[in-house]
Amino acid sequence: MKDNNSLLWIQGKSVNEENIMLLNGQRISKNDDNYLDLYDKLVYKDYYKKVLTDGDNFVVYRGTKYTNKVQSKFYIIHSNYHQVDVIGRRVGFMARIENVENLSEAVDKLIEESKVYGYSCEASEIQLMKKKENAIDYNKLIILIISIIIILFILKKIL
Amino acid sequence: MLYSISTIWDTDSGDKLGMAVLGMPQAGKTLWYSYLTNKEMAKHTVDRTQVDEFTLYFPKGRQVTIRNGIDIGGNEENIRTYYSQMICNNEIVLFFFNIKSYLDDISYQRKVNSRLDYIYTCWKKNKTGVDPSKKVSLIMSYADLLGNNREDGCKNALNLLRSRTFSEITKQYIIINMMDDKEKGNLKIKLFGGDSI
Repeated sequence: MKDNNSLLWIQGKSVNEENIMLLNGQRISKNDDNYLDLYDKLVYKDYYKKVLTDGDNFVVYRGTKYTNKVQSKFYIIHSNYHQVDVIGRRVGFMARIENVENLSEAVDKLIEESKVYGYSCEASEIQLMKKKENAIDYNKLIILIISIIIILFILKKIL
Repeated sequence: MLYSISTIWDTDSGDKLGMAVLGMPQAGKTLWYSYLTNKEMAKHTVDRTQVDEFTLYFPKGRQVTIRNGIDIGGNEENIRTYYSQMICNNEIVLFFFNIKSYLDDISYQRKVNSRLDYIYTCWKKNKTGVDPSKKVSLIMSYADLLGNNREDGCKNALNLLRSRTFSEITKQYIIINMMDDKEKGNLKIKLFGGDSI
């Protein structure tokens, strides 16, 4: 994958409908030499931190990537769209969104790319993912405050 | 005869059993796990879902513990990603497919044949000396769609399957409606319970 990439895989609505693989919005054919390597990037997620799940339908992982010694975040999201397949189950998808600042940005990118193929995420899941990002910032804030208190305490002892 | 499955687990051995649940999309794999674990699994498995170890209890104090496993999506990409490791790591393989589609849709039939061929080849390559004919079972789901023609449908599907190179793994089979708890219960007893049904 090059920089600024998004990778999205959408399960076909029936056994006979081909699954969709999109790299930066461009459809990748099942016969493309890179197809399975791209698929691997979506399913091999065990080394990354699980940041959010509802236990059942969706799970979000966060990873870190280094390109030319520059660090960037990416998110892997596995879930189901609002739309259903031929037997009434929500259509599954997997996405890997790179070079984003936070989950909220990744979700926006996912929504935008899904829309082109007529798919939309569940509003409740979007809300949960965006809320989580705020929670992550909140945690960082708490760590920062505690760190400052510790530093002040140490300084007071020294001085 | 709508099934031919012998109990594949020696209930006295005390070991835990590894079960690989493979098959076509929308064929009942997740329903099977939900039934066995008595838990509602993800409604639609995208990639894979972890299934924790669980124990099945039967009359006369018999019990079978199924090791940790994974419930994988039926999409084609997962064949290369998971099939080989799942076949190698487990003692038994259950392969689910829609019998109605197998009989009516040549494209579906080819996909099922191709997967079974992969399973057979993989077993032969990696499990030398272990006879796959009693370890691989075909679970032909959506039997309800055949109406009163279950028997003919089953016979026709078996004729087609047994004309292939992987015929050795077509000896154990059952035709089933995965929406019917009684039928799932029969399969469970047949596979793990040790008694005939």
